[in-house]
Amino acid sequence: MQWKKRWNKGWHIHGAPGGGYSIGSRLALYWLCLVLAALAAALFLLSVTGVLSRTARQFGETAALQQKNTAAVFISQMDVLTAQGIELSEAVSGEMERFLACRSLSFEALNDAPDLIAALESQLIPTLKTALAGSTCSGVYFCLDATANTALPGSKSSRMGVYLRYSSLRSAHPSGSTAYFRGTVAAARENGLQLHNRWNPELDTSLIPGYRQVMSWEEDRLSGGCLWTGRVPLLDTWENVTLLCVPVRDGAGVVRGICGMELSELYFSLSHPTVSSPYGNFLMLLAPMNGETLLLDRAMLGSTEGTDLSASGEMRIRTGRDYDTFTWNGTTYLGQHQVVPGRLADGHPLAAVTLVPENIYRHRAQSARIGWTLGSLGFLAGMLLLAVALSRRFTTPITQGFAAARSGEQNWQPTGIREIDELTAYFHSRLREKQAEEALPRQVESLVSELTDRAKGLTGTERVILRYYAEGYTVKDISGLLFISAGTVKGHNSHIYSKLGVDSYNALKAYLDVLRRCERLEDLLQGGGK
Amino acid sequence: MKRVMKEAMGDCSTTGEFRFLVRCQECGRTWHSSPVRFSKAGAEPETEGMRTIFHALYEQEREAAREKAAAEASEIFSRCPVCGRLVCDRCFLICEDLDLCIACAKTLQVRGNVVAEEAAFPQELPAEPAETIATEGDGST
Repeated sequence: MQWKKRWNKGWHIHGAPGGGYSIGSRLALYWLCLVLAALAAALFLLSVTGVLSRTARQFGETAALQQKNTAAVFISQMDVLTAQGIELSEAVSGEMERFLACRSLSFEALNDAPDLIAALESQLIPTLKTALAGSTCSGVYFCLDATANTALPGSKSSRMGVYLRYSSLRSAHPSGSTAYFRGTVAAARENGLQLHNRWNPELDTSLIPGYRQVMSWEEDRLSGGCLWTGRVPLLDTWENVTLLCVPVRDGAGVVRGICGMELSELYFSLSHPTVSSPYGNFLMLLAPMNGETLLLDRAMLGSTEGTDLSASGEMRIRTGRDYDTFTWNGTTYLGQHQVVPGRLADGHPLAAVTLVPENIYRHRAQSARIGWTLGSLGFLAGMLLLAVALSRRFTTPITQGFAAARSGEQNWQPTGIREIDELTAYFHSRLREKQAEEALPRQVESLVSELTDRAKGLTGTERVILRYYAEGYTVKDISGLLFISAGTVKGHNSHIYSKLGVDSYNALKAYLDVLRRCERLEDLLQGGGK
Repeated sequence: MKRVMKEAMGDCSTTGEFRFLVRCQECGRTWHSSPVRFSKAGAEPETEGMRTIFHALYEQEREAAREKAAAEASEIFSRCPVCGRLVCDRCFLICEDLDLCIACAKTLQVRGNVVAEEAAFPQELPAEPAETIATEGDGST
């Protein structure tokens, strides 16, 4: 209570400034900075360890999403083409039936009848052109189980038909002239079609995988007889294509040939460009699967821009937790794969695949990690610098305040911290009170000063004896300590008494006691000795 | 000081009393301590056992008397810090810087006051009352 009273007294008397910040608010700010610095350190550690960036999981999620899109695109494209192929098949069947019925001919009458074949092809070309214009494909064809000359060698695999394809492709939306790849010259001339530079009058069915399968198909639903060839080279050209094969039946339900659409390698590549992502550009493939292997030599590849990937060899699949790893020709790709509905001539399932080169992924992931690391490191450094600046700003006024409190200067400057200023004001008030309490009465001060002045006349031995007296020793003790007789001590006593102006030992003791209480005894014992 | 004094003291005790002496190494005068009577002085031990006890008692009281005599001698003898001799107050000077015996003061040409003369001043002393100085020279006891 007394302390508080003195405190309040000092406070009101000296009027320490009431403004400024409190220690609590500054400490709160300082600790906030430290907590943020700790958070930054944690972020830094998480960034360094890669936990924060969670690259693998995020990549897996991104790849899964892209894979879903890829599969949807492929399934949609195959379904649409299959539907259009069935429509084409029905149209070709109808035209063929009408053609034969008008002439009261059987289907077999087409063999060794070039004129009939030319006439039938000419009649079917508008249907093909319509199908080509209305489909998302690079070509259409039909092929019937008849040939213009059965006597020729290889006539068993040479079959009549028309194959129209776009002569040039520059985008996923084909335009421009239509090339006449297969079919009779007469039919082309009648329909104003330009012959392909690798033109042939008939199709070589030995180059169409699955031709025999489709021809031997006997069920009712046409959709059940559809199949895809996989990627095959186009005869006499540098191109590779995938063909949809749909049975063409006559009125009796006998399969008389096949028809369908062509997806060229170029067209597929243009149709499926790469998809950009934070981990690099995703590539899209449609490839036959053999166990854990993708058969790239029969696969259709979307755009492979920026990579070395080509349609050759095999690609090994290693399934992972977040994503799959694909190895091809010593190069690793990351992504996902999914089997899509569709029938291949050789029986392999088709897989839609989404890939990104591992090196690009690693580079992007490393960049992300470095970004996180540098960011958190910068944040940490900023917070630490702020904490240091705050602590310096916080402690400087405190040390200044304590220095002012110690110095006892009257014109001390407020530190701006309320508690420190109050404490300094309190110390100053205490100091003033103490000084007032410790001041000696004037008469005593005069006496002490006089004694001190007189003590300057004492000899060394007398000063030693006086110190022993001050410490409480008797004459006998001093005699023993100095190896002198008590008489000698008493002789010194008489000198001490006369020099200090005291007349008895008791008076000397009284003076020594006063000096001790005033803390001036040392002045007497040390000051001005000879 | 007392130890030095005890070593320098001579023993002139008899069977009936204890007494010791100290000789001033400057002037040669001898100081005798106050005699202390043996508690069994005059008594004759009847048995050998008593004789042994008397003997032990004699030694004990003589040591006590020696202590007392040393204390007495310390009142009037000082040891010169230069030559280390024990000298009486008549041969010891209170000097300005260092108290010396007369001989050393003369050698060093230092002036001072003889203690015995100083002690003659009627100043009040703080400790024990002044002892009687008995020397052979002046014949007082």
